[in-house]
Amino acid sequence: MMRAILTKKKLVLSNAHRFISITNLSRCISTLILAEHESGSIKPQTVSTVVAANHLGESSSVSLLLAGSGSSLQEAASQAASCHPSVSEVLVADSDRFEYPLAEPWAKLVDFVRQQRDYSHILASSSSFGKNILPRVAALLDVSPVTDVVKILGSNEFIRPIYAGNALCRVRYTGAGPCVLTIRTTSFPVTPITESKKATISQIDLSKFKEDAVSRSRYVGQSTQDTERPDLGSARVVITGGRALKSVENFKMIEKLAEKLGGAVGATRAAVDAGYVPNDLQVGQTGKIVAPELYMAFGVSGAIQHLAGIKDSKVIVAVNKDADAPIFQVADYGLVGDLFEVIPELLEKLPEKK
Amino acid sequence: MKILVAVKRVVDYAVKIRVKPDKTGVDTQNVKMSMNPFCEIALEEALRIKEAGFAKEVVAVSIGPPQCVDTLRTGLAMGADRAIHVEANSSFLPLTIAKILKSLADVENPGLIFLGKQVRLALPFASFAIDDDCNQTGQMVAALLGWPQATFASKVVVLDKDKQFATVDREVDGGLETLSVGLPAVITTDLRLNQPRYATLPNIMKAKSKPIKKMTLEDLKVDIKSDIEIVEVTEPPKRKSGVIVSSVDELIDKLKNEAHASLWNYYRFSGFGVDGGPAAKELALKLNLANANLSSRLWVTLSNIEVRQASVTIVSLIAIGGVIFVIRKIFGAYLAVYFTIASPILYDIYNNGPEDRYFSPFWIELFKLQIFRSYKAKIMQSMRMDE
Repeated sequence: MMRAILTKKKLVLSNAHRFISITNLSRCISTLILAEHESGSIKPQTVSTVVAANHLGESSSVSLLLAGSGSSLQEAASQAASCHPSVSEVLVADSDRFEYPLAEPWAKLVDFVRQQRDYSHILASSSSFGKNILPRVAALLDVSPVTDVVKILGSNEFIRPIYAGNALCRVRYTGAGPCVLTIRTTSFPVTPITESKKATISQIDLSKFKEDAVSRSRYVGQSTQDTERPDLGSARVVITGGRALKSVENFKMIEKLAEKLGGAVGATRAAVDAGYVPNDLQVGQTGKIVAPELYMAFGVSGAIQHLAGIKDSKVIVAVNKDADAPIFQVADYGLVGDLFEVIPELLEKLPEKK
Repeated sequence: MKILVAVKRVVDYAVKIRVKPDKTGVDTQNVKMSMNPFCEIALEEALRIKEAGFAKEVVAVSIGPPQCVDTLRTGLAMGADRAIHVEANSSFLPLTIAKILKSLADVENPGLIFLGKQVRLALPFASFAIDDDCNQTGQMVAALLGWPQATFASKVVVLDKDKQFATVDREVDGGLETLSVGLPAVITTDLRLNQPRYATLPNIMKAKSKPIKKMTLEDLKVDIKSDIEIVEVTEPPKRKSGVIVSSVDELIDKLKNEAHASLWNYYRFSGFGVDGGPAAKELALKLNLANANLSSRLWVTLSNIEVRQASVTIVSLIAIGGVIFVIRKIFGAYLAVYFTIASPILYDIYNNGPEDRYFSPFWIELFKLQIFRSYKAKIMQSMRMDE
């Protein structure tokens, strides 16, 4: 009797084993990720893109491509090598040409790197960097990119939002060239890393890299806000103000509330257009897409384009004087009231964050 | 210098669209169409550069069905000098559009090409748009022509006297970036660049006599590239409807106790915490997915399955099944049939195909159940025989 049971066990096990090997027939996937770095460290959007690359298939090798110049580049490279266990290689292009991330030299660089090694997938995050450069790369490779991917179903099937997030479109890439994607990083959160693995860092030989004799695109300058507040795209709490705030001074209330909750400040297009805040705080379809744990909107009416940028938030709280504002249809908790009274009350009554 | 502006006929941006129940696309009955707002801004900027004396001619281009002529007439009424209509009888991917624009640029030799940054709700023929919100065409045209690009332009483009450079302020994630691009170049426009003018009645009348040239893909020698297929269009998971609270105190109370957003557990990573922790969140997602799938297939909206109730049910089923198994009732093994209900939910079986890593564990679980049942049967049988 025992023998009968044992043999049956073996039979079933071998069947299961066969099943596993069939499912691993996916083709060899090697991914090149365009990495963004700033002041010597990798941006969180790049790490989210690595997480997304993991969903492409079992046997994937992930290479990060960094370009820039000087010591901050080398620092970023060594940080990139240990940012995620699935990174197998870090390629570094060190040249003055890449001091600022311009699309023209970057696209040529990606093509140059790809000619030396065949990649099945080329990824970047759906940030202004990725959106600027990746379509140019795709056109150079004569492939159609899939942009703003929120879910990866396989090595060539993806889901992306359309119609301001009111519908989800499942697309399949059927081309022969590399699959070029931009990833919506809010859909691929990064879990804290427990194991640390250091990838190899290799400097790319740029001696044969020929860009157009006269580079016709030149970086002139930039105006950025330096704040200690968390980055809007990856913050866990976002506090947004709309046009109802009426002035730059009033926005300070929003900033105080954000500081109390340890969150980032956002704004609607109307508020940015009116000049209350700079454009990098804009949340919405043509601004930043955010997916925080807590999203609080003060004086925001809830236009379709704004809602497109906040739909994936876990909890949405809305405060507005107008009870018919569309924002209340998406909000989990709505409070009809004057934000000029509600915000000071909240500031008073919220406990300090630990 | 000539400026080429690509304009697109799209669903009016204020229209709210609905996904068709058969998932083939969206409902397009009697939907209002107009020029893409980004394209209007692109055209406006081109007209301003011409009025400043830096350009001689503004040419508007549109690719699509015969109705595109209406959009081109609007462009001519705003002030464009002439228009080109490339006839197309199907939806094209941005790469094909870019190739068409490149061929046109080779013919027309413009000094600047303006495009809108992105296109929303373009529905020339199909009931879904392949190029919706893609934000790709401008960059691709620049790559194919080998020209520099300045995307997401938000501040007035200033040309220097010799018309060799354009200074463009771009909106990037970190703020504003200023680039100087050598001409000819491709510029894509963002919403803050300018406020487009309205077409006045005299201009609309004048536009009727401005030429619109018709071209075909064969004339431009462009091959259609279609390497992306649309499999289906679905609605995103619906958010649970919210509650209106009546005071700040109530709001804080709800956030503290009900919301799954662990505001108060911000720095604590606990296994289960107040809301069940990461495991419960995962389960909640899967239950929502199962719910959504069942709802869409059965045409009935099922009420949301509560995570807590679901996990309690599953755990108790295992517990009871185990206890009964021990008491030598084969029924216990069958009770563990919860696997057949829970596993599809837990392993997302409908969305994951053989390539996904959850596929094999799911079947292993089912096999486990089979083994479980058959062993139990065998043991019971042999015990009965012994007796």
